[in-house]
Amino acid sequence: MRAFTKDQALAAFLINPMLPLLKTTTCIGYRPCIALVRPFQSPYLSIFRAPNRTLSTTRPSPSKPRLPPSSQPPKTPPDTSPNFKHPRSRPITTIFSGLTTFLSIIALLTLTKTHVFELKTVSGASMHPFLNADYHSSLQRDIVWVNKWRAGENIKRGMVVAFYSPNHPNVVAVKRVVAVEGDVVVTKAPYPFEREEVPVGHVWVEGDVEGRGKSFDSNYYGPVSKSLIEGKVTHVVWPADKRCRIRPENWKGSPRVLEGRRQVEKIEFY
Amino acid sequence: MPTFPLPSTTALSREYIRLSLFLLKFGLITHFTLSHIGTLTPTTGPSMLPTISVRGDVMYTNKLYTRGNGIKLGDLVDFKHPLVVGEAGCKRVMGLGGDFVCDGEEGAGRMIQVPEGHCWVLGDNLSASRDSRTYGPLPLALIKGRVTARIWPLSAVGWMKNTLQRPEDGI
Repeated sequence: MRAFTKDQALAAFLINPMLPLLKTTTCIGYRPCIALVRPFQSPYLSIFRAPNRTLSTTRPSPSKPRLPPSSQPPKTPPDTSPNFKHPRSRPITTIFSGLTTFLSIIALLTLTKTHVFELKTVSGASMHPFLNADYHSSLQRDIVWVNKWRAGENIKRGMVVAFYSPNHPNVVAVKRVVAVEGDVVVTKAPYPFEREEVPVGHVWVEGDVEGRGKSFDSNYYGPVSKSLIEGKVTHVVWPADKRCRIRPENWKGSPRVLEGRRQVEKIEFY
Repeated sequence: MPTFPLPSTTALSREYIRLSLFLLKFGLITHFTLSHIGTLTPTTGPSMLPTISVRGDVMYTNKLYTRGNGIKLGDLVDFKHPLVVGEAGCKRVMGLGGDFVCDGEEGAGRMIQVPEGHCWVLGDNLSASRDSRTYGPLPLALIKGRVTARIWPLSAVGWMKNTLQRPEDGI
């Protein structure tokens, strides 16, 4: 840290009360700006410069005799004129630096939630009793871990997925995938057809709950596009005694699904 | 200009840490802006002629209009492809929930009503476009943004206007 005069320190302290706390804040503004505007005077290049050479000197003028190093005057401290404040101590720099730190933390949290994982509360009873077993006796709802990494890829029968509901674009529904593309499903009411083949790029989702009309699922809105799938529900996190990993192979299957044996044709984009 | 003497090793590593923190912050804010505020999307394909060329056009997509929020009839939308995970599509919204649309060519085919929460997308070049006539109504949740302007090639820079007119306004 370079030396301030007492006046400068007092002025800086009065102008920016946060300065003592932010002394070690990373300065985002100063070095990159100088590097952009004056590339040859960039602070990043200081490692290539010989010691004790200032940026404003080029070569010694021939009229002045070069003194041996020992008799040179001691290195002058950086500019201490009363009007100069180091850029890192200016209020605008610390404000800018703090603002960008704040924005980047928000960006990091948002991007983690969209692409890595999210903890979701399951609010409905369509997966009863697998999720929300105490739906009718308590207000406590289960909390699940939704894995958002490569969400729509590698979907298997028996996985529990979180997807945007086709009829309500801002609602995320949690259901189990009972049939993938190519399978034929024997549907339940109120689906208008008795059997349905799941088209390419889609899945058939149903809730675990028994009984008619208790689960607003593919029997109401048909097959769900895999691009709507936001994440796979991999763990139940709360309540603590029901903590488990959700494995698709543990699902016993549905007798109403006729698994397809033929290969579904791929779509060509030209 | 203040002097910058050769720094010590700890000061040098501090420089590198500062640089990498700056790059991290810059990268996070840029990624957030590109995915939630606005981004540039190159387009390809003949399905939107003459509005968008077959190749080489780059459009600006406004990502504040995501999942159908604020989408009106006649808007150009950028959406996740309903049949192939990872692909994207760019078409025009020609029907919203509740509207009646026709499935086939020139008025032939079935007449269906677009369900709630879905939209009907059509390419401007109907003869060379795979759109809702192929894969049915598009769920609004697949919409990533609204295409508002073209920024490349420079000779064709401009806003993408909604040219739909109501019949009662006259032609």
